[in-house]
Amino acid sequence: MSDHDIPSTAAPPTHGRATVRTYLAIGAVLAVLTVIEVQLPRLMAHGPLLVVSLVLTALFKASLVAAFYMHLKYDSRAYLGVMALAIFLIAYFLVLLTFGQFTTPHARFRSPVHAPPGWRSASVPSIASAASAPIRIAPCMLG
Amino acid sequence: MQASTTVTAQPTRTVLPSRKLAVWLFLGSEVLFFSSLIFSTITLRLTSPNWPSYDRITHVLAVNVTAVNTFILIVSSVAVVLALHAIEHGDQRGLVRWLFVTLILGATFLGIQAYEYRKLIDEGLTVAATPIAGTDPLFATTFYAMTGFHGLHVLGGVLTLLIVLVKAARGLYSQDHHDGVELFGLYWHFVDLVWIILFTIVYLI
Repeated sequence: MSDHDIPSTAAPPTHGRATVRTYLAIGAVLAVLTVIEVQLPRLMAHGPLLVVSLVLTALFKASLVAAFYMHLKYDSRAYLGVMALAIFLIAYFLVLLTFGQFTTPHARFRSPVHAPPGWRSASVPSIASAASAPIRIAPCMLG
Repeated sequence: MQASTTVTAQPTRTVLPSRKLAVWLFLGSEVLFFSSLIFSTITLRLTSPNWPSYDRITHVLAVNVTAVNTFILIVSSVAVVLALHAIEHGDQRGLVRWLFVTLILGATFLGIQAYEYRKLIDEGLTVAATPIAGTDPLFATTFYAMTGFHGLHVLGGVLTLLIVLVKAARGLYSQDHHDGVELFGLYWHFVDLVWIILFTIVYLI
């Protein structure tokens, strides 16, 4: 059988998506969650619980937009795959670049931006070496 | 000899619309771009001993005004999705009406952001300085980097929307051919999605 014999659909169906009522309901939920988000810092003490609550609320709102307004819930899974790949890549690079920062006691809360004058910390960007302490380089070693 | 009937399943293949896939790939790259900005800010904040505390930030940044802006962007997303829904059902007047509403809301968002920038600069929050003594000026840098790039994306969306709106008003979209509306909608919703995250990271946490 040649390729021409394979039935194909030119595009995923656009109908069968959410109704106007659903779109409006999602919009109302987003608006209400925004009001709650703004009020939360005024009602709760600023701490980890507040940060986690706000981040989770923001992620929930973002996923509502992606699922219903960007139609990820209804369209081809390939588009979801593109987004998942992007999120995986950013997570991969994030772990790669900051692994040493958060696993080495000496490196914690120390950034090259705020390093003492004449000193800088360099983290080697590989998983194998990221676990080791950051290399301190004295100005005289830099030539 | 009895004839046997063999039923063979026809293989099916779904071909993705190339323009839509291209837009999704573009949005994927935008995820990387904005994530880089957001995580750079988070890293700088965690490593800075002088990052402004929540109360100090709220004193400088007008959270209530920005909350209104967030609401405006959410409503504009609703308007875009209603525009797409209208043309999917052959309602050209509905398409033009909702796109026009989106244009007004997008322009309002930009206007409020410009007003906010003006007020902040007047108070001394510039790209390289904060009005709060002893705090890290990188706070201001990251603030303008994230909100500024997002504002540029909104501006790009508004300009694109102008083109889409003109085409809609001329009747160039129909129930069967409205790719431009759908692709613009994807971009606009993504800009809204990014703002939802930025609003929390920049103004609330």
